[in-house]
Amino acid sequence: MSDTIATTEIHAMVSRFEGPLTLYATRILGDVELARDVVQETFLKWCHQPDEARTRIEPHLAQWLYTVCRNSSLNIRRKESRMYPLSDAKLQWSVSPEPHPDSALEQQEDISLVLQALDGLPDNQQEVIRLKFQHGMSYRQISSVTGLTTSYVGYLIHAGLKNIREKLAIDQTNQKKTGS
Amino acid sequence: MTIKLKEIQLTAYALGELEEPERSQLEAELHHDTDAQAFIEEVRQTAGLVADELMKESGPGLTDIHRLAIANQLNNEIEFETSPSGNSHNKFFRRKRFSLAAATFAATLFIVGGLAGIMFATYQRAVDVLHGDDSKIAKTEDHPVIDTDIEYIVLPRRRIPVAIAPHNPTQPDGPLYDNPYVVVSNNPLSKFPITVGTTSHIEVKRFLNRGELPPREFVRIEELINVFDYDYIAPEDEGASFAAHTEVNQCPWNPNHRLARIGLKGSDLAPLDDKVIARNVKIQVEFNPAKVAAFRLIGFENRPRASVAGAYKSNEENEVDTGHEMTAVYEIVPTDQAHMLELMSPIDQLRYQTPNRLTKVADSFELMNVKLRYQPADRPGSTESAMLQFPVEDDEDFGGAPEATPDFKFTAAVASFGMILRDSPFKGTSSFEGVMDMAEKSIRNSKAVNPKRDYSLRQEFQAMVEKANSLKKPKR
Repeated sequence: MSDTIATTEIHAMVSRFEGPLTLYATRILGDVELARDVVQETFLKWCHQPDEARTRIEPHLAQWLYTVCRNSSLNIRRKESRMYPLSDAKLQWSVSPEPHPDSALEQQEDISLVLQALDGLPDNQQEVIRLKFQHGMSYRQISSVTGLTTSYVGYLIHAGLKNIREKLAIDQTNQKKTGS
Repeated sequence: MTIKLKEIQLTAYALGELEEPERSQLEAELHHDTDAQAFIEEVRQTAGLVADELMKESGPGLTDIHRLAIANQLNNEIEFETSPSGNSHNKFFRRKRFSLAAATFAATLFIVGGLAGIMFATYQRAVDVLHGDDSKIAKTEDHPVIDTDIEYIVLPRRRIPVAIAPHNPTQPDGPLYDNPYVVVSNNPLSKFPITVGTTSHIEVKRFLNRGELPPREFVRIEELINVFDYDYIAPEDEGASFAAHTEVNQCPWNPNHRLARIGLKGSDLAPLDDKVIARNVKIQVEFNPAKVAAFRLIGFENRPRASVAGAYKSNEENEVDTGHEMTAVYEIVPTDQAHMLELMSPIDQLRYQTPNRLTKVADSFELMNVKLRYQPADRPGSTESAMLQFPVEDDEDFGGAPEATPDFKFTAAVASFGMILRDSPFKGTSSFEGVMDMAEKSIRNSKAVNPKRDYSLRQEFQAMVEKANSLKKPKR
């Protein structure tokens, strides 16, 4: 590794990508601290690349970082699920951070109908919709990050948006009914 | 919900994802198709709503500790290239370089923020890829080498608390006491489990990130030690499910004591498809009273009953995957230091017994014997168990005092760090500075022989110790 990248390129990379990548990894891992670890590791992996490899990565830097971040997150998920089998003790811990049922209801009303509809989607639709509309990726970029074909990405995004649209239409009808 | 192929195409068109020549063909058809036009409008509306909501969310970003770890890494990489020999007379320069590089890096990160994008035009170009034109990104052979074994993931709908999530801080599960010394003539046996969690590592980090030293009940030394991979070599003998890697050297925080590190490594070969190599694993260590006056298992203090199941699976269901690693550390009082025992507390001495008769093997160089019993997974349903024994000798007894391996030093550094955080009565001369020194030496020596290893977690540990050191209370 050369001195030059140490002082310039990585600064730009970290400040540009730390937010989006931690957001993405947190969605996969469900834990901010783990997500930060994964993102740190992702940047370090980039540092470890030989100069020549970094030159090749440069035009696809975003996809490369998202791909590495995604794979590391998935590996950790697999490892964690192996290390922490669901036990009684864990269930007790798992329950406590959740809000009380009443406050959960109140909280849900604060979340926009759109996000509620998004949360109700199958996980693969949620992921591609977030990559598309939150991380600004094209079908092709999403395909390279997730390993899915471009046409399947197109299908998932279409199906996801359609689901959301239908959910919102139902909510509107319900609101009209209760309002009248 | 039925989905027509045409609709998928229309959605792609609405989102600007349709390529030529399909795009022109579709546009030609659209002139006469008001339904399709309405559909496209609907897609765009929904997409706009979704994008508006999602753009409101922002990522938490990294913390100082993560940035420091990256800065450390950068510095170490440079340092490694400039002085691969690691001669000690270079130490001053090394340190100086470190602080300069780290400070520059950290300062730039904190201050530059959005400016970075403008300053580093080269990178901005690459960065633009995210929002940029697809045509810039050719899908070519030189795509990054990625794990092709991608399976579809189950994303959490909401933040799912798992065991690694913070417990209720009012109910920490860690113990307030430290395992005491055990006098070998009274009780030569010790046990430890084959698996531990890593909760404590995350919690310690969380406290440090918040600018607080973790309360002692959150610090579990065995978990801090076992977060790290030690790259133990798997058993070469096909019949054995485990290999033991043991090392005995001077105890860094008490030079009169010895430190024994026991590393166990599960076989890499999976006898069954389900990857499980052994279950019902029990580990017992027997100390030789002719060599060891007393021992202390570092960490592994008993937990309150409710949390035991979560932390260590009970022995009955104890299953181990391929390649599993487990490390335990004992602090040992050699028999020639037995006179010091009375000065240490608490010690459980028997009132009615005197030392037993020794076997012939006791008159050897063996300090202790590590014994594993388990049921091999390739014989499911069978109650037959396998046993492995690993006698441990102290290299010092063979003349000379060999230098501790880098991983031994690293384990000792982590144990010492944990004892300081717990304010353990057994921490001896442990200090944050000493821990930093041990960790730095360990990483440097390890890099000299193993430059390709992933040091990121170890470097993060260095950052954690630095952070803890900056938070420590002034001496009373």
